[in-house]
Amino acid sequence: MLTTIKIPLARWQQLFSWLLVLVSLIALALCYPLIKHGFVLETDLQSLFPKDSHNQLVNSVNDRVYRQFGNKILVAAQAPAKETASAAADILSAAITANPHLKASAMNAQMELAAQQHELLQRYRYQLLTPAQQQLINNNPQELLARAQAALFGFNVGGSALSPLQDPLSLAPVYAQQLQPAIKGELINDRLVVTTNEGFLILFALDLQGESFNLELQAQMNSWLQELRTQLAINPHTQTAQILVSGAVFHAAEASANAQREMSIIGGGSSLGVLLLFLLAFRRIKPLLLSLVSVAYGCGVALVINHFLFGKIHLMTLVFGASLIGVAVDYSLHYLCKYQDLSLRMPDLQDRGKRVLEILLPALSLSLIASVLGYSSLLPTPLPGLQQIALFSVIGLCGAWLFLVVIYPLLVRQPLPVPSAIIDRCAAAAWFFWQRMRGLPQYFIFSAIALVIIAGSVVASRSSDVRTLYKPSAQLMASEQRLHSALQGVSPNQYFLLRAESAEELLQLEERFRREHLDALVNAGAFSGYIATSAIVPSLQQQHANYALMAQQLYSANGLVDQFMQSAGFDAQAVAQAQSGFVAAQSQHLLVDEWLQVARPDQGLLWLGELNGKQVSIIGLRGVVDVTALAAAANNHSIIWIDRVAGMSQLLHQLMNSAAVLLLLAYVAILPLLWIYFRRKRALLLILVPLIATVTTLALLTLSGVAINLFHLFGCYLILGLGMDYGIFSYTQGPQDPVTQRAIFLSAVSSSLSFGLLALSSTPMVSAFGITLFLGCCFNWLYAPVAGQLRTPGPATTASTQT
Amino acid sequence: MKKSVLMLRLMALLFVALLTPSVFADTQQQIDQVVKRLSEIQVVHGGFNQQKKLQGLAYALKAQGTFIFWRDHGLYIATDKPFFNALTITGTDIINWQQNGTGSVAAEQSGLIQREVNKTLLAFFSADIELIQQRFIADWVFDKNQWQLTLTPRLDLIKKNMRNAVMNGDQFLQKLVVTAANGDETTIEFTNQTESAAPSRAQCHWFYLQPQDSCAAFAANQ
Repeated sequence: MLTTIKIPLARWQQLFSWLLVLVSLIALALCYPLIKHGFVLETDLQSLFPKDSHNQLVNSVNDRVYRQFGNKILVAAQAPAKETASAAADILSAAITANPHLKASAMNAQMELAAQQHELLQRYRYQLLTPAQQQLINNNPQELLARAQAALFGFNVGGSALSPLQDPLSLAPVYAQQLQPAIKGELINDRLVVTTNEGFLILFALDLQGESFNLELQAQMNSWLQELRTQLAINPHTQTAQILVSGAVFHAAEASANAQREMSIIGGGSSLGVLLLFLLAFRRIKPLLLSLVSVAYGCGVALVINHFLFGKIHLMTLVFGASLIGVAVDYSLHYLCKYQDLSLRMPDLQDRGKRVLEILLPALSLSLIASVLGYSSLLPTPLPGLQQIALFSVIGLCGAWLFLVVIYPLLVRQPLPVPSAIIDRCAAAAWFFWQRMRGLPQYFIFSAIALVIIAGSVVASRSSDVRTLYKPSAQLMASEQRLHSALQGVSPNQYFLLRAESAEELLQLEERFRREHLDALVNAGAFSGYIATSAIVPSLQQQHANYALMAQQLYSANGLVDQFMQSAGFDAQAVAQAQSGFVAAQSQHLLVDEWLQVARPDQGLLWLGELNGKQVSIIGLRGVVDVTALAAAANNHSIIWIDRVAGMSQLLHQLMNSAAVLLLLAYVAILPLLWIYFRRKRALLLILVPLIATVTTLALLTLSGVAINLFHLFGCYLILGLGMDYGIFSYTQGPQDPVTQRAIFLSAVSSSLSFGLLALSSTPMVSAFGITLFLGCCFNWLYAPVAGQLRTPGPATTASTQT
Repeated sequence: MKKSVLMLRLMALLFVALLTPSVFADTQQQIDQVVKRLSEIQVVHGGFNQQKKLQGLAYALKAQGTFIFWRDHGLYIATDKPFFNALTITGTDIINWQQNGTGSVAAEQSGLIQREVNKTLLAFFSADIELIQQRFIADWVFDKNQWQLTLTPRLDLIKKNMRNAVMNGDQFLQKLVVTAANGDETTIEFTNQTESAAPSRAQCHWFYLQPQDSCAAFAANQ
């Protein structure tokens, strides 16, 4: 009970002052490494999740994919007619040349690389056979002979790199065919033109000169794209043409442009609202500035300490951590409203600030401890993302609280004028409502709330869709999809990761996996095709087998080569020359390292080499249809199925489960605190204010057809913090205290304005957080008076007024 | 003496300067005429004799057959002797034909590079001089109504297979000599060439896997 706590305020103030000085000094000291090494802002969502050995490997692979492709951009001109597409491509080409941040990949350089690849494979032709060639040699050698004869005598103006003496059965060109990109397109004026259902698409592969996440670069690329689109729209020859883009920089540019727009509209709107509210309530600007400074101080301390402990700060920590620290505004409001009240009731009082603290410090402390308990329940979670958010908000909240109890009495010395009448009338509305509803109507209301909650829980559904984190615009999505389908590229988010002790074992593993699973899955229609290093560079075991097969069936005495060359009329010397070439190549083997020297970046990426002590490779997939069948083919040990989107959704699901359990634990943890503090059973019911506000909010959301996601749950933590605060003050200060009513009302409205307007955001996670807080703040305010009703005349009443 | 030599040189320079534009203009005119003439051909069919001189083979390999070129549709080539082999090169695919007339798209020959090779070949027949000059260094020689075009590849990818190609012709492309990178030489002579505005229904069939609808509009015989 409050009466049992005797507060020697001067001592406490001294202690808090020293503590504030200490915290500030620590924060200042930790600023040094931050300034020296720079501020590291993490944006990778994967880093929010736990890192085990499996994920570490996947993370390394993802890092490498990002390093390889992060700055690659595809831009295309699309039009229904080839001429229009071509005219648009001319404008696009000029715009690319004029843009210093873009560098086009030369088509000729790619063709030369292809020539080098052909040359390499021809050199090792006696060790290389496609599965179809192996089958033909084993099962239908006469067909092979017929094909070789047709190739020799048939119409051929393409020339050949190898003579019939070097490759009598024309096996090498067929093997090299595998290297050809599976694009349904053609080269016109050194530009790749692809025919699609929407018309013609002329593609430009570009390299971005700079970092995709550089805000200035993003803005420049955005305006470049807009100018280009305008240029096409005003040109009569290109009006029907469209520009399609794909690349990380365009996603980042769109996200940051959205964020900036929303920041200015939502942030501006809520700031204006809060400013108006504070002016109506205090008729001074200073209270608002003080509230903001206390939150800013808390955020600053939390930022510096967290950055020191984790070596970086995640963007999500900043967004959600800073929001959770927003509860501190509530402390300011209680302080300022009480101060205002004392200014009116005791205008001659000398040390008003000290008196305010004498009255409010117990409730402020209890409210802080409850919120800290609630937020710190996230600390023991194995998820680094939640840990960082929890630590950030706990440190920030404590910092803001310390700032208030030490600095406010020093800075707020002038009396505050009486608030606008409308504020008090509105503030009393919730209390007035419950007063009028006493008795039977109250039970009706509770029953209605119970019904809403039950109905909501019946239809409740959860969502761990990764699109809640980021959802690109329909235009950008369509653009990406069209380019992806035109290029028939391998999926960057779904692939197989293979690992083995050595390069040879890895190649053998790939071959086995392709033979036993992938080829069957392609035939079954689970996906349309794959690319794998072993399809170009067979294992040494397979190369030996290929050579042995050729030795036995093709180059043996009276073998197929003999038959073919004799039928064509080659003399014995020529036959011997062909045979000797084959024999001389017995010890040759194509090795992965040699292949990687001429491989295109996308081909080279398939072979990751040594990672975490193992040899690692990727098998890239095209046209994925049946994800379940593909996932079932992996053994999760040496062959791992990677589905980055599903993986992220699964991690979000885990994160959501943990957040839900920890939220319940937070409620449970607050109960003993309330018991220790009040020693009354009825006081335990204070927990019902945030609890019922939370479940009513979630019920209303689910009844509106919203699937609850992780960010709704994050909002529930703040509802807990604010609701406990309202409940404690309502309980301790009594049901008729206009100061408490005003403080709670101001807190609810300012929180609703600050967070509630986030519901209008186009980013699903921000919107979910915002709508939850908007509803939660309203319900917290609505239920807070009920906490006052729990209070029976007794020690608590005297405590609140006398302490 | 010195003066006269100088004078002669100046006169020679003047002569060359005056003559060169007209020579270039004449050549360009002749090129334009050849390109125009070949571009007018919609359908041409005839026979061909192919002769391959291979390294290590004492005699030339000979083959003969028939061909149909249909502008914007492709080239059908059927080797009759010594082995049957028939295929149609379209802008997008290669259709392989069996002796019984059934065809199938050669999946192994449908890659981007193969299509570019096919396109280059079709450019020879359709006189797509723009594409030819993009990929080859072109050298024209004219002798009355005869012309010869020597093509040297610009791209490494083509150089690896082909050293050069020499085309001879008049009203039609008459002869094509391709020297491969390994020194093998293929000479194709086109014979009995006949031009028409459109293919017959039978000729049309070789350009489609399902020709029923596409070829119904063409005359049964020509």
